[in-house]
Formats: sequence, structure tokens, C-alpha cells
Amino acid sequence: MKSTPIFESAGHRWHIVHDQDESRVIDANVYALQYGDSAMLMDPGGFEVFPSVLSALIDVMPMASIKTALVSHQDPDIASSLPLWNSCVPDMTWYVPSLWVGFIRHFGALEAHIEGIPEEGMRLSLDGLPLEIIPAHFLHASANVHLYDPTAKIYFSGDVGAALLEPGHSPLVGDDADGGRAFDLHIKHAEYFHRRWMPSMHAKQEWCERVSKLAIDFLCPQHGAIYSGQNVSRFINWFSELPVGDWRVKPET
Amino acid sequence: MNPRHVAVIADGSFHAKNTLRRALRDIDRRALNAIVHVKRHGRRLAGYGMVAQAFREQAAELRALADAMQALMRPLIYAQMEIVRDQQTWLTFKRLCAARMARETSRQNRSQAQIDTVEKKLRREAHTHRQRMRAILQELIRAVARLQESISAQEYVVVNGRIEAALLRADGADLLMQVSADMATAVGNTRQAVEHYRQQLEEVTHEIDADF
Repeated sequence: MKSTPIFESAGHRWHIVHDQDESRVIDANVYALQYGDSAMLMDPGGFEVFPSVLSALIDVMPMASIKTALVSHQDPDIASSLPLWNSCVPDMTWYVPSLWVGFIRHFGALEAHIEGIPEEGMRLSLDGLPLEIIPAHFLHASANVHLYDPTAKIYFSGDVGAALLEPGHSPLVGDDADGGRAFDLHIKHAEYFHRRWMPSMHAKQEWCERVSKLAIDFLCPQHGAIYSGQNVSRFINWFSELPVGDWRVKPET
Repeated sequence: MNPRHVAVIADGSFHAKNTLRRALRDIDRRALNAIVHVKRHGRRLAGYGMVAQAFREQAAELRALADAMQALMRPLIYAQMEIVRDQQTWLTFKRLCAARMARETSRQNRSQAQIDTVEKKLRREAHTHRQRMRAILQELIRAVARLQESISAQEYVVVNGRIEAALLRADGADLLMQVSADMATAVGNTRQAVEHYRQQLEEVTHEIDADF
């Protein structure tokens, strides 16, 4: 896995850890936000990819700085590494949607310090950096959250925007000023995932309306590549028009 | 894997890497300054020219050795995390065994045979991962030792440079004294950082060997 910087400004950094080497499990991105002496992980990944994720992260930050993790929902590709992280960094605080706290503990580490996120989301501070946990329920899990960093204008979108790409892919969707050509090529890899995994038209529409009002430079999904610049609004518009919640849809070939 | 070892190796490697990067950049910059300064003053400071060139060559060697050492850090952390994962698997396995044994006393013998097979497999995998980590750790310590030898050579060049600068009577000699002193500080910082890292690695190695 590679650790690539997305944003950097005076001790405030975002990194993506992407392009995993383990092909037997679904490819998943891990994001790390560093501010001052603290770091927060977004969807820290599964049990199998844990050695790759941690060794890639240690290239760019000390392990002692990792204080917090956000778990957007209960899937194993996101959170089954929890007991491993907990054994290495026992003081970590885990922010998890309240609805999933009892389920997440099934991954192990009953003693882990888990904070439930209320249904309406919450505000958070990482060493003084203001962050917003934004509800994204039913996108795709019934309790689901995203994270917005208004200073960096980065929106961690969990499974929204996800695409299943070939190994070796770039961390970004592509040139955002090419009239949408890179976006059009990319979004084909995202369509089936969104139609099949997102169950609620109503939840999707509400999310699109809410997020389109935010200033976002990077929309960062948990699978695939990051939407930057104009590709962010292209994605929100595309998603807004997409019919979802139909299990009969077929995967692209 | 003791969580303290994980933290020592992960954070020790991160800090050693960053300190080295800054210190080597500093050494390289000072070596280049010395060369430029000697060239600017022509024949009057020619005696120092050899020293300045040696600074530069030694700095390049330090960088190459530091790169070789750093290339082992990530595999080491990866191997260490494999052990952490093995331990978690082992813990889960033991809990499953305990639960199963408590439920199935009448079929205990059959269950025990299955458990023994899985246990052997897990032990074998864990042993392989521990051996791998130990081998990388030892290789890393050897790479650190090579880097330390090169730092000693650079310190020798620095001492020569200070003597050479002290013997010069020409204009610009003061500046070369300062260059030599700054170089001595930069090399000293590098030596300290590498020594500290080696101590951390050796301490962890002893503790891991005791666990074996």
C-alpha cells in the first residue's frame, strides 16, 4: 500500500493509504488526518490488510500520534482491524455510530474506548481543529456517517463515491478541468456499486442536497479514487440523478 | 508481540528516518558550501579543497547507507504487524477452543484432534513470521552499524578539516573554521540519532530473543 499526501498546510495534513497488495479481499482506502501532534484515521481497514496499512502510515507519521479513529459503519473491511489497532495503541478513541457500537465490539477488543456517534452527527475537535461528523444513514449502512474538515475542505464520504478499480490506480479520479472526460471514464466503475449498495432514494437525495451546500475540494471515498475540484460537483449531480435501491441491477462487465 | 516493542520500533524508525533526512541534507549543504567557498578564494584556500571534496563524497556515502537502512524499516514494521495479527488470531482460536470444550465433553477426543491440527498450523505460521521479523531486525542492525562506520569516517574528515582550517592564514580561513565546526555539529547530531536508534533496536532484539 502507498501513503500519498492529499492536502498539506502548516502541520495540517491529509494522507490516503491506498492500492493494497492483498488481492483476496476488497481494495479499501484508509485516510489519515494529522493536525499538530495528533492524528485521526478514517475507516482504518480490515484484519487482513492491517500490516500493510500500519507500515504505510508509519512512513508519514509516528504511531504515537494516532489518537482517534472514525468508523463510518460496521463493515469488516472498515473496522475488523480494531483489535489489532487496540493492541498497538490501547489509548485510541474510536468514534462509531451509536447503533453499531454493540456490533463493532464483536470484532474483539471489548476494552477498546468506543464513543457512540448520535444519529444527528456531532462536532469534534482534533487538537483544536474543528471537524464535523455528518450523518449519511442508509448510504449504504442503516447507520452511517461521514466526516467533513471545513478548513481543508475535505469530505470523507465512506462508501459514497466508491469505485472498484484495477490495482495500481491513481489516488485521484483524474484531471477535473478536462470537461468531465476523466470523470465519465471513472464513474462507470462506480455505477453498479451505488445502484446495488445504496438502498434509499430518499436518503440519497437528502445527502446530495446537504453536501452540495458545503465547500469541498476533495471528496474521499473508502474504495477507489478521490474526486477533486469540479469532479466533486460532477459526482454529486451524477449521484442525485442515479436510481438506487434495486437488487435486480447487473454488474458492469 | 509486546505493545511496547511495537511502539519502540514504529516510532523509533519514524524519528530516526526524519532526523537522518534533515541531518544528511544539512551535511550535504555544508559540504557544498565549503567547496563553493574554496573555489571562490582560488589558490589561497586550496589546501582545504581536498577536505571539502572529502566532505561531499562522504556525505554521498552516508546518504546511500541511510537509504539502505531505511529500506528495511517498512518490511520490519510489516513483519511486526503480522505477529500482532497472529497473536489476535491465536487469542480468538483459544477462546473458540475453550467454548467448544465446555460444550462438547462427550465428543472431546474428536474435537481435540481437530484443535491440535489447527493449533499446529497457527504455531507454524507464527514461528515463520517471528523468524522473518527477527531476520529483518538483525539485517537492519547491521545496516545501522555500516552507517555508524561511515559516520565515524566523516567525523575523521571533519577533524582533518578543522586542523586544515586552523593552519590556513589566508582570507576566508575564519569562514572555513565555521564550516568545519558546523559540519562537526551536523555529523554529531547524526551520530547521536543513529546511536539512539541502534540502542532501541538492540534492546527490542534482546527482549524478543528472550521470548523465543
